[in-house]
Amino acid sequence: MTFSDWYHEQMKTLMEAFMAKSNPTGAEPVPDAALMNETQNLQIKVEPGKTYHIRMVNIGAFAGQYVWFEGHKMRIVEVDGVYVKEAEADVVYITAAQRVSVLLTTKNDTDANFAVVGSMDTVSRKPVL
Amino acid sequence: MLVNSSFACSAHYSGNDRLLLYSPCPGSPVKMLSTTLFSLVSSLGLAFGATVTHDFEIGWVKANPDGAFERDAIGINGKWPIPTIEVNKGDRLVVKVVNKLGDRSTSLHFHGLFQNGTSHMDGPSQVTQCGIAPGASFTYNFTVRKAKQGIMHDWPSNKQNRLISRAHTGITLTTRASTQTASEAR
Repeated sequence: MTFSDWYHEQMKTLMEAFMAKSNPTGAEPVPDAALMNETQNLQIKVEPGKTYHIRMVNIGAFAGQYVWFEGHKMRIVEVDGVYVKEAEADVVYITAAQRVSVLLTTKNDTDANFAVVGSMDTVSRKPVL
Repeated sequence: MLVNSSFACSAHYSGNDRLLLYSPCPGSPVKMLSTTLFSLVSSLGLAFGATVTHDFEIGWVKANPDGAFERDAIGINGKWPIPTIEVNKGDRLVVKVVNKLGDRSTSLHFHGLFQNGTSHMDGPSQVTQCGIAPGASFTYNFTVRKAKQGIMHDWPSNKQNRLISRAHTGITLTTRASTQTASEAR
């Protein structure tokens, strides 16, 4: 799965505002949207009670994203191309260009859909004073 | 807070002895490859890796992934999101890039891949190569080693643009690889 930020303006326009003296704190341009697999409202079918190896990457330009699978825990098994000792997590934080693999075992429950959430980090984009 | 949520879980499983280079496809899981041939090939070792060849024309396309605003984006072969590359560890990857942007130079950087002995194929403009000028071409040719996941993205020559453009402009590609199991890494 890919996670990404998305700007409506071209980089040239954004850079001019970013580098301008009217932006003395160096506040970075705020993305206009967040994308998952380069789209929104992505739906992926899975089978109940099955373990999936999910390879996730933040292909965004700038913003990190918190990622979680509602109602499920995940087991982190790879970070940035290196397999790691398994670690359980409710949420992973994936910065731009970072890669994380998790094992996710789906519930034995077909009564509901579960949201996959990519929540763009807004805190770390605050101006540096 | 910008939140992009989708329902149900993901289903990208990719075996233990394959390496996938892929780009994201809206609404569909990454296309699975036939594993049989690749497993056979990779079991023969590096010397017998396959050669995976792609021709990429990099040019401007229209993109509107959030349905809110159509903009120009950098696409490959007239499309964004860009096409998928899938390779095994040990394969030789050959990507012939033609810059059809018309108004700027470009290059492809293979983020997260080791380039031992092939650093001139790593891609960053003005770092390991000159940017590929408009109308010019460049052929990347290297053996994929060790990496499990990586990203391929454009690398603008302009230092300021590089700061925040990176993958954002649309030349993005992820490398997935593993000939190593999780237990081996412990």
